[in-house]
Amino acid sequence: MKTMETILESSDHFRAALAVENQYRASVVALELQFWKELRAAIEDRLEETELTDSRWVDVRENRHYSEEFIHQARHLVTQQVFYGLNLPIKEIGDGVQIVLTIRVSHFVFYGFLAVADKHWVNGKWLTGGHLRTCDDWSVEETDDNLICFRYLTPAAASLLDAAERQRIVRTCAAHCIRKSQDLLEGLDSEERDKLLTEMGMP
Amino acid sequence: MPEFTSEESVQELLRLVAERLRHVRRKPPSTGAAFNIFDLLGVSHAEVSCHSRLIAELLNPAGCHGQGTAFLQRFLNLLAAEWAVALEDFPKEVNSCPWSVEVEKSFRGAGDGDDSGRVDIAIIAGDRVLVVENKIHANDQPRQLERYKAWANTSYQRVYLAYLTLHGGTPGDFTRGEVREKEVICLSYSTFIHDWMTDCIEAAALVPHLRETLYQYLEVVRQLTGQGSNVPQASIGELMEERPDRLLASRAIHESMLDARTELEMRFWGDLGKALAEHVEKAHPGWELLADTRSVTPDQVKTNLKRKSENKTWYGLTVKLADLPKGRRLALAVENDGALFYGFIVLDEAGHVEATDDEMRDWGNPARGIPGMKPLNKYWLASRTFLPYSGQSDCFHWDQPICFRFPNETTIQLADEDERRKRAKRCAKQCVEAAEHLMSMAEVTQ
Repeated sequence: MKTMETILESSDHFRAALAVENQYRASVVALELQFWKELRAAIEDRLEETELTDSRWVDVRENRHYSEEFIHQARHLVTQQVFYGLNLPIKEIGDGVQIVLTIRVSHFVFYGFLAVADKHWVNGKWLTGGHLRTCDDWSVEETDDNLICFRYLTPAAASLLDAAERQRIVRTCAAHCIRKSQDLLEGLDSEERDKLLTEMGMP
Repeated sequence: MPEFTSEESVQELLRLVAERLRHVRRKPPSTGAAFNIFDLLGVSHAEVSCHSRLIAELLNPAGCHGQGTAFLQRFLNLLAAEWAVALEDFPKEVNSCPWSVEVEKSFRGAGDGDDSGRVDIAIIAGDRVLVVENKIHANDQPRQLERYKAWANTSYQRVYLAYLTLHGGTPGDFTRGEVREKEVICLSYSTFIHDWMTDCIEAAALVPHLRETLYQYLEVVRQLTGQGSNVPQASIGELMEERPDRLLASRAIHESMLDARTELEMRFWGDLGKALAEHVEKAHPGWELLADTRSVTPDQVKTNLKRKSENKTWYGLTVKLADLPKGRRLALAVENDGALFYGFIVLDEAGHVEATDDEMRDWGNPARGIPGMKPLNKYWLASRTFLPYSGQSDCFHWDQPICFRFPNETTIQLADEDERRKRAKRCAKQCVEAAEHLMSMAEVTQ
């Protein structure tokens, strides 16, 4: 109510508020697009240090490779979600099935691992995953101050405005995703892989 | 929703943005960018006499622009890109058939008078026609699209219907009649005409006379659709993106705008109601300001501000002027239909109803004799938007119809209490004078 009263304090304020309203979506979309670009670059930098050097970004129907168009679409929808983000295959586990590191927006920016075949998410289950955070210490409680949401702009998302801070955050997130990818790969011995394929109905 | 921002940040951002805007508004730039012939002549809101005619003229290959089919082809390109399926059989190339364009084409149906009408723009491609209904601030009329389709079916092999509004809203059942929603192509000034005009300017790049006029028209489109003319949007973005707390303040503003606009509209209706009540009390003891189903409520206002389609919520202020036979009443009504307008209606116990032939004769005909009043349909004996006036403003702008959905400069100034009260009093005076005029004419004729 207080903000509304401030807006209606004078025609100068109301006119300014209309200009802010007109610009707001474009500003947040631009910020989000920048975040994805830099996160992608930060992950690519990290790949050089792993056995995933040759891995390439892919498009998955259930999580399209990010683009300005998808971000705009998602902002205009209230009930229907457009899922977009980044998808990086980390392991081929047989029968054309790949384990893919997926980062996407689901209210908060989220990472996880999916089984993908023929550009489709195979069984609709996340193998493991969690929210990306803007803090260095990932053991602290999840709050709006460390979880990134662009639709309802959390303080954590707004903090990405600062270029140096954004770089620190995307590097932290990239390191976390790569570490989790390696953990998963190490834990995925042949027995577990067979179990996974069976669970997916692909013995 | 959690609060992430302080009111200080909101205050600071609004102050900084207001300063930038004030600077631009106070002094017309020496580039002449603020000069606009459409605004100057007061036609930028005139649906038919400005927009339909200009659009039709540009589309017409034989138009006085002398560019042949250049503008028509660009229009077809945009149509094909956006409405490929719905317009599958409509020609996409100017060379594929003979083309002509008609504007304000009147027709009379085979049946009674209700089948007649006037098509805003008809784009004729051989034996096919695209009928464009152009809506800026005018009221929808009952079964409009159904009547156009019925008429066009008698002359053309294939008929397509387009509904052109400021933001591409869909026509409601009232307007469509028997026409199905998916049969109607919804075009908008905010993107379709905006993009087409941008393409036309490119096509006319080497024809300065034409190009500059199109630039001015594009500015009108931007103003009408709230895309802010003369407003340095990029520099506003810079202010918002300077610090995280500013962006969070922008979010708070963005989320409060619907409430703010609802409140502003409610305040205006409140002031207008008071001003009308004063007139009624002082000079017209037989009149009565009614509280009925049409009365303004915050929920109705909010629904109207939020709506994407042209389905309407009708609300406003009603003053009973006279009792009519069979318990019916003649009333002065002020209503919001995009722009604010006023006129005369008939009420029965259930509310706003169609006028009978006798009522049309006794009240509709004299009402239409009042300067500026126009016939609309049987629901409105006659109506008009409020007359513009020159307020005491420190900035250059032309008076525009009050419009809360897409606030123009006139509407923005209503946030100042003094200006709002002054405007409400003037509006009340205008419609009361029209009502007095009607009552005096009716006395003479009866």
